[in-house]
Amino acid sequence: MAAEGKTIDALSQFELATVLGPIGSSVGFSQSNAHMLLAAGLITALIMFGMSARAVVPGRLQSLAESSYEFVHDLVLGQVGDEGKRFFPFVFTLFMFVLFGNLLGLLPYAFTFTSHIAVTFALAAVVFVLITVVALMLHGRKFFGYFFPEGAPIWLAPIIIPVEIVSYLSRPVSLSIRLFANMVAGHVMLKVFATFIVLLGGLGAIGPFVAVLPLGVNIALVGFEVLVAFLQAYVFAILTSIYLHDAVHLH
Amino acid sequence: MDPAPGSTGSLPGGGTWGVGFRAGVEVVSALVVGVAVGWFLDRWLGTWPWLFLLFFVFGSVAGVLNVYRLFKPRSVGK
Repeated sequence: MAAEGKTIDALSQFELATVLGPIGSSVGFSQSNAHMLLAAGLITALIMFGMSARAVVPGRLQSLAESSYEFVHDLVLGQVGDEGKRFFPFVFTLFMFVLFGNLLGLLPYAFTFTSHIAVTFALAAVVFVLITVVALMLHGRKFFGYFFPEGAPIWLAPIIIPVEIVSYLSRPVSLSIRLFANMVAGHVMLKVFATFIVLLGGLGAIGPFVAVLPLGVNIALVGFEVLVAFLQAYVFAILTSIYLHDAVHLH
Repeated sequence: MDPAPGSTGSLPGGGTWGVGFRAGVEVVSALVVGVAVGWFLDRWLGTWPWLFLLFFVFGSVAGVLNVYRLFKPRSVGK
């Protein structure tokens, strides 16, 4: 599919198509939605089956569930402080959903739903609404002091306030662009080098020997992509915690 | 990018590329927001292109501010 007509077609992997036949196409149920459901199901299964044993000495699945729980728990409490406990379920859900989305996308024939800015921006918008509502609920009108630091000369207000507002509004944008751009870049690179293998492989007698080079690059890239998948989920979760810290403490 | 996420300190340091990419994303997103806000205000108030230009400048300043905050050591936890 990639090398059809001897061209590099790196972007068709992000195209949406409906699944489940006529039912799916009538409600617009795409493979992206299917993978989201799969990710949610896998996370639920990991936590439920992992913790069903409740062993003192955890098995493989239980230790995976426990370590992911503790990882996010430490992250949220380390960033937000003790008030962060009540935001833990939110950040944990977000982290696991993004992580499973990134990792599922690396499997052959799978679709990466985090490679669509509509998805990542929706997640970031939820975070943005949450931090704004939390800050307004905890601090009331004092929240608006966030846009004008104390001690700044008052004649600078017409410059500082719009700049701070734009900076505040850019949070969900940078959060979503970072995740989406990382996933797209990684998958485009994988596809480009995979196409090189096919194109160089058909180069006659020396083809298979030259094609080994992009194959080696692709093997390294897959390993790198596993790292990026985890790192981007981590960055998403920690930035959410940092924003929550700002919302709880104002600065 | 380095596998820093073992510790739960701050953001992973990343290599030179990681730092550059993060700074770039901050600038671009602030510019996008500034331009969008200016464009919509202009369409609403019919003052094209003045608010667009003004908010383009605000967006650039906010981008620089974002990058400054990215590298400013921040108080973690408490």
